[in-house]
Amino acid sequence: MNDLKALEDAFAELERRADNAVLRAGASKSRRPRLVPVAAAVLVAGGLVAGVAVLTGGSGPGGSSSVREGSPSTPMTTLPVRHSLIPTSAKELEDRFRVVLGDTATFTVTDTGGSVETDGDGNVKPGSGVAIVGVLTVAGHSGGYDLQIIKSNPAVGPHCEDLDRANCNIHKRPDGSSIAVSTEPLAGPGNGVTHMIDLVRKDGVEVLMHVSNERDPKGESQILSPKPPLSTDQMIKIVTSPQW
Amino acid sequence: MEFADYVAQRRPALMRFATVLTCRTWLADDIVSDVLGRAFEQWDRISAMAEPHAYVRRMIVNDYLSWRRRLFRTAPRAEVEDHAAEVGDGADERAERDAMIRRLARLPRRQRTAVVLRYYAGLPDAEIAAQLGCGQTTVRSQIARALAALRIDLSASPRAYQETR
Repeated sequence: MNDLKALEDAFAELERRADNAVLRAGASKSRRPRLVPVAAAVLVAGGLVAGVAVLTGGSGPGGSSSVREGSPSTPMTTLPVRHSLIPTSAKELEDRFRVVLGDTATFTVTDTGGSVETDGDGNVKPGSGVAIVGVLTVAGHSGGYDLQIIKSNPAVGPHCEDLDRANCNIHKRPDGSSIAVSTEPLAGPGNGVTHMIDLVRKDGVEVLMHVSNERDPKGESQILSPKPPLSTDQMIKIVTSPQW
Repeated sequence: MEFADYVAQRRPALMRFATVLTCRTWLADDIVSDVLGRAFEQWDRISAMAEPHAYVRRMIVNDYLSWRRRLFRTAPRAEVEDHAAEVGDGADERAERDAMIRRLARLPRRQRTAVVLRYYAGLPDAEIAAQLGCGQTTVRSQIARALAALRIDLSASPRAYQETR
């Protein structure tokens, strides 16, 4: 067993690393200001860093700071992609989403991100894929959404944002896939919530979707409806649709 | 205080706090940058508060615990592991320190947040409970579980870390 001194030493070391990072950032004159649109930041945070970093030339540990404004996802789509279930572009994802939704809802796409990155054999690398962000409307009720289809890391199954929450439900499905379902309160004023469905299929394709009652599914934005335009049951039907 | 002055004065402390919270400087930088971007938009309101820094720091906690950050699990940048690989020069103290950082990094985020708010920021249970949106009993149980995972025996040294602000 340790005492608190070990924890204090860890804190001190982490502080030292933070100071070094600040110094490095200050020394880098070429560092661009953060102009990343909020939604694009979501996508960078969404494990699509690898693809974005390639698009921007890569930038090491601070890479997400250098993502260019409005530089989402289109390149690299000419690479061979064997995993046809993963869309090769945001436009393809948008088109598929429209088919899957049918008459259930209408949606806009306000931002896109990520890209499909492949290895030397043309296989999609874990963590890479594409995403779209926008506003979804059902029967006059609107809310922000994001949708990502990526190659999952096989070692990591689906999980909720907060495993401790009572409403976090993770279970196996008869087809061998695993799914996490949760509803998260959003930070900021108002009663923003977001539903999250995270499906990891047996073939390693991960479909992740958030639908909120706020304009920005990250929260701290305008409340558009009393509740998200889709229920979690509707979202489960969408992410598990055979039409993808 | 003007926003630029606040950033100049407090960003290093925010980075330290966020790095202790996340165990990763790149993630800390990302969160601090995002939070400061949002704080700028609301600066008239925030700067009028009694403790603007406490509010911004709470924004960092909220951001870290928000659902969007969960996706970092698929990000390829594993700073904690990289640092671990550097250890091996026989310095027991450094090895133990980095082992502690790795254990800290493996904690569930709410447990880690509770530990950091208690032992780094020095907040009382009531304030931690308010920040985590749970009861004080839950805070105490989260911390107890975290300390067990960290292999820390509180009876050995009941003092608290003094955050560098």
